[in-house]
Amino acid sequence: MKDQLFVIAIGGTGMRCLESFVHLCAIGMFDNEEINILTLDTDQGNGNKARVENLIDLYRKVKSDDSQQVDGGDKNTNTFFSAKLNLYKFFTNYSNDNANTYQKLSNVSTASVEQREEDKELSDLFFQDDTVQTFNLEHGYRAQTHLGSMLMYHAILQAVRNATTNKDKAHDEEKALLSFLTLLVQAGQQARVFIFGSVFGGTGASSIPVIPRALADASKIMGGNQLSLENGAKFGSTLLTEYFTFASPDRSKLQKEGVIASADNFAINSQAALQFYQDDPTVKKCYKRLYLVGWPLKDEDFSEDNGQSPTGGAEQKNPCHVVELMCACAAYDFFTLSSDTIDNIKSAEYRYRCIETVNNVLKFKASDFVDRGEFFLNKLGAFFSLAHIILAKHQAAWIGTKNGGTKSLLDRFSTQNIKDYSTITDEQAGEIDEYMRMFAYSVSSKGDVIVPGWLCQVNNSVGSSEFLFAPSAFPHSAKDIQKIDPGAIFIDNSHNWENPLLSNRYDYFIKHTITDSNSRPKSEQNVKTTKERFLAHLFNGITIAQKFKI
Amino acid sequence: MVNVSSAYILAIIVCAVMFIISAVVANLISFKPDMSDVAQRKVWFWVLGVLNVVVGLGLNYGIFFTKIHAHSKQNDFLTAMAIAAAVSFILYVVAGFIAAKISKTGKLSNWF
Repeated sequence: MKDQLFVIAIGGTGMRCLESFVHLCAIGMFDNEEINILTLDTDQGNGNKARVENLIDLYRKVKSDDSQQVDGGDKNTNTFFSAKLNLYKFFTNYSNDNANTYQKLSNVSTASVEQREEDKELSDLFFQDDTVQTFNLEHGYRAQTHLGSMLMYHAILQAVRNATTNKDKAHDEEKALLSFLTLLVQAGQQARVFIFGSVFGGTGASSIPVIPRALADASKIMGGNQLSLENGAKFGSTLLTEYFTFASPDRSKLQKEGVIASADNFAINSQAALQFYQDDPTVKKCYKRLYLVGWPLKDEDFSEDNGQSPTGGAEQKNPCHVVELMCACAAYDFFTLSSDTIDNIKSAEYRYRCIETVNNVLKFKASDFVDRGEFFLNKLGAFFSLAHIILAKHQAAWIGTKNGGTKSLLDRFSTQNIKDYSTITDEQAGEIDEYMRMFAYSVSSKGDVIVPGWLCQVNNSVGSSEFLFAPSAFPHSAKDIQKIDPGAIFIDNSHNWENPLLSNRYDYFIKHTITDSNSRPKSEQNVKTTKERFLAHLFNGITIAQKFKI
Repeated sequence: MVNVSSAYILAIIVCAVMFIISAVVANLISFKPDMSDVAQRKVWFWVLGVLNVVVGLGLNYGIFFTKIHAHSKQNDFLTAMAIAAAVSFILYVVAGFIAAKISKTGKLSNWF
């Protein structure tokens, strides 16, 4: 029986890795899969969390026929948006003034004075009393992983306890966690869980070591079947070391906040974490595979223009980085391991891969990300070309453009007497446009400033290194967008679309996609909703034009 | 020896040539995201349709009519020229309509 796939994204970095993962799903890397995703953070209003949750909501809308009742569509094969995604949102609720610091959380009201004194002495032994015990937890664990691990474990158990024993009064996030855990327990040995998070920061670093144990113990609270750590769900994760930095907090901010994560410590945090993951017996028992991911070049600077660094909240909306794509590809590797291979892993395996470097310039190849490099490049390239068609050629990059984007592409199909997709509404077409803007780029409504989407952010993060596509495929200004050729994005010219002498590549694409019967959706693609069929039609047309031999 | 059938034959030849030119032009006009190509194909189709009539009449006049000296024959030929022009235009439009329906998803479908 096929394994069921689960993803848990933790903290700001985990959310950005999840963003990359969702885009891998959008390009069609996870054919015929239904993936349950849990977002887990201490910071409900975190900008990165909000961004990826919006992205998943949009993904589900794109696949659904009825925009009022979003069911997330179905599992498809060999097309865009082929995986069905289900989202569960959980956050540790520290918004209550009575429970927003460790000191307040650990203050058990029913304890005797003597017990409280003992608790305090024990706490003081591990946690600095005037800083670590008193900082506001709403913006995460601020690199205090020793505190964070304990609190995250506690929060998960507490949430499941509340949702199990007091369903009516339980918060939505507690119910969501319980639903996710129920699915995990039901899947039992057939569950494959991949966890995204960093090892150098706060929330993710605190949670990765304890999540398997916390979920297993939480399942005991639910009663009935339990999640077994030894012979149950198969866990995998990335060990993502430091790759970004931000300005050190000034003295006044430090005094005000008490504790602030300092990027100066990220390298030493990473080193200590790796030593821990190398030796810890619980980690070795819980995890099947751990993927080491690092960044050898200059760290990305996440400081804001004013030199300040938000501790969290809605302002924390950092751009995506190529290492996050690497992490998402690690999840792909883990999810595509054969059952025999994964079942034979008795103790955590550590995996890494090196990128070719010439004169301090990285040369990324598709096979650096995924073993089946051509398969990956074909799908990513097809989706990138589609994004260019919709955003650049049909001008959906300019937010608010009327009658452009997917709508005008649909009009083209209709004009050429392909009426199969005429039931797609303007609103639904707009959702595809919005997804493409998040994937590639958009133009700010104020002036002609380009706003990089996910793939352009990833490309920006590699600096002068070579990424997967020709530099001309990435626009840097609104003028560049107008010059984009959707069919000429590959470095290897053999995969660029044919460029007829008296015509152009766009003409070639439309002509062949519309007239070539091979472009029509096929039964084996299992596309059911109108939008799924439309996207499959485009996928077929573009992949035929790219001529990959897969 | 010029007779009225020459007018019909020439008109039909011109009609066929114009139809082929029209089809070639339609295929040479690239698909454009703003759909302006659809209007261009339509315009070219009707312009060439009118040209079909004009060129047919002009050639019939220049090649055949000027060589007819008898008044009675001139009148007969003028009538034949007019009928041939009308027939060639109708033939052009009907052929265009059929081609548009056969090439259901292709560029010619934009004619109708």
